[in-house]
Amino acid sequence: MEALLFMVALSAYLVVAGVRLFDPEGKPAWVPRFLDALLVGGLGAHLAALGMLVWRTGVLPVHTAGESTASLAAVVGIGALAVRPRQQGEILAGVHVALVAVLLGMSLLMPTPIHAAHEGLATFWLPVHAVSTFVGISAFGLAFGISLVYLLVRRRLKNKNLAGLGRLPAIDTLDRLNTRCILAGFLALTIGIATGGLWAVTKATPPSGLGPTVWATLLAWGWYAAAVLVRVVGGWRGRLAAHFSVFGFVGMVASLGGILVALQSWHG
Amino acid sequence: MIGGRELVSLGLNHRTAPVEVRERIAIAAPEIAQHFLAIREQSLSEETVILSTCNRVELYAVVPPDDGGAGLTRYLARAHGLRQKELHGHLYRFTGTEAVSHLFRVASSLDSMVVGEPQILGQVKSAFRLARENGAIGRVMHPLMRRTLSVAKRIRTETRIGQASVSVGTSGVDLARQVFGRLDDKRALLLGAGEMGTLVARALLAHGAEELVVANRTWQRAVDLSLQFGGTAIHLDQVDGYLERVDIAIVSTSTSGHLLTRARMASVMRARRYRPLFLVDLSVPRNVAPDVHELEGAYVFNIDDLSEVARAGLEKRQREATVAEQIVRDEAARCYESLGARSADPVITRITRVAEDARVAELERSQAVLADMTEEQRAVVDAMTRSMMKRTLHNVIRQARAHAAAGDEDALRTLGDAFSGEDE
Repeated sequence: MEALLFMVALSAYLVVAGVRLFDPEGKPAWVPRFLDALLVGGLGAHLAALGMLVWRTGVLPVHTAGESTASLAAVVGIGALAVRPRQQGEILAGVHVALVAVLLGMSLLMPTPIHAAHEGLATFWLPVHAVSTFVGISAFGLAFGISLVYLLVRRRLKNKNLAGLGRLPAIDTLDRLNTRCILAGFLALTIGIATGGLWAVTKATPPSGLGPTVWATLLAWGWYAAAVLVRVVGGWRGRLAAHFSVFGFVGMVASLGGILVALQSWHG
Repeated sequence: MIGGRELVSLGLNHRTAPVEVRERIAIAAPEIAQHFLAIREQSLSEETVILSTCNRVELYAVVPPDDGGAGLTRYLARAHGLRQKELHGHLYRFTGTEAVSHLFRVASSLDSMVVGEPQILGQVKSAFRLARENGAIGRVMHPLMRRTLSVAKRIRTETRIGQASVSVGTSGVDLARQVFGRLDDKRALLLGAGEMGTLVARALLAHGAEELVVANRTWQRAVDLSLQFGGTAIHLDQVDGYLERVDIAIVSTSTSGHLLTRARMASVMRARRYRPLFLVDLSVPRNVAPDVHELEGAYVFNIDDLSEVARAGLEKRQREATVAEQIVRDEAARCYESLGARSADPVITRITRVAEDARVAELERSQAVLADMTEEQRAVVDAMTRSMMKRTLHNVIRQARAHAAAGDEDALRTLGDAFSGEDE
């Protein structure tokens, strides 16, 4: 049943992302409303599938590579609805939903063994750690999408390629959204790392050293700390902030994703 | 034909008459009441709407069929001290569906000098209000005008006819919005007092820009402009300081050569920490070095860029106008048919009244039997007879509307006579 719901969600995401990115001019007025409904429907199916997983296993679906990626996709999907600008936000929404679709598609290709609740997963700190970390990574994912659109709009303005530019969000709006996402992601990831540490030391058998996932997360934290410094303290904005988001997220996905696939879970 | 009358629209506009003719025939709002009165007294039209704007003077009227608006044409010339032949070649006249279609096109701004401009709808609304206040419209023009407003709104909603910028001023606003999104918290600097620059500044302020600072070589001109726009005048040596603070800079001076060089602007942008600066250079020769556009955060657009946006906007509006024309055609045909069907209303009222009188009379005749019934039973009988009457008349009413819509006055009259209510 979960697999079916995941497939329904993925199909909805693909349709929404496809139409939003293509964004045909002169489309009937009902199309955006239909796409919004389809996105909410897809997200509903996605969350229902994750809920069923929780109900069946009794733990948050954040342990294995497959379920973690599916959960991450859902958080990005919720975030995409939250950060979408009221005007000219269709293409940005398309980029974000495409990211959700890619993450969910990847999760469906990964094996998702069901883990019974075991020592450590039942502690208070794990849900806080997992949720914060996922919110952090998702916020960076949203910043990545926003930055891609920012770079596109910037390029078109600089090249004076103005046809159809009115359908894209304003460059300053994108810059502000990017900053907010990076700040929110950095804060959430900081909480995630701190609570992860607390979770590790409260375990009956604390780990002897930092695993590869922890190292990769700390590296990502350092990168985004630099981004926050550059943006908030240094006041630099625009292309530099956008590049920080794009390279940061790509690097994080490559490193964390690679480790996750190799270990088949976050912490082995 | 609507109830044996003709719906006609006649007038002239910016395409058919030069301003010398339009200004002579223009009807000012305070004079409209006396024109309605005169038209009614001379029985030239049963219902009239007068639309007079700087680009058109038009009369929409319900006139006798054999007249076809000739009386109104004569009146229009006479009332403005013109000979009829002076209007010859300038006047146009539409009847029936074409008149409806023309009215819809006018209200939807398809017939405007700048297609898609929004003012005309307000002017049509005013014309409607004035006609209503003067008792100049009734059974035909009232629903027609209401439908006109609704069609114009439909076109605004379903097409993007009014969205694209078609002037240099609004093109500047559009580009500024593409950089900043909202303008209500943005500050602008107007450098120079060129005509195009003041146009863009005015458009920015009209679209909500928070503040305007004016710098000009002639201090008095800067003060005058700042007073005109409710802004602040500054000296030219203060410009760099303001360039670091404002969001938009409009450069429109008569200086030859680059006033804002790359080196000068690089220092400004550094001080701004690359916060976006939207620069509109409307000077010819250009006052902003083209390579300033390459600086991070600086977006420079010149007069050609703005004209290109305006030209593309105009093309877009023309494309949308094609869609709008189809809506107008469909709506006009439907509306005219429905207006025709409405001319059956007096006949339908008569038929219904005769049938209702008969029903009430029959109930009164059966009073002796009904008296023994309870209140509830009497209500049932009343509802039953009413329902029988409605069912019986349903086809007759439909037939009457069909005759009216087809303009078959004889058939409609025959049907009405059959329900004359007189005893045979």
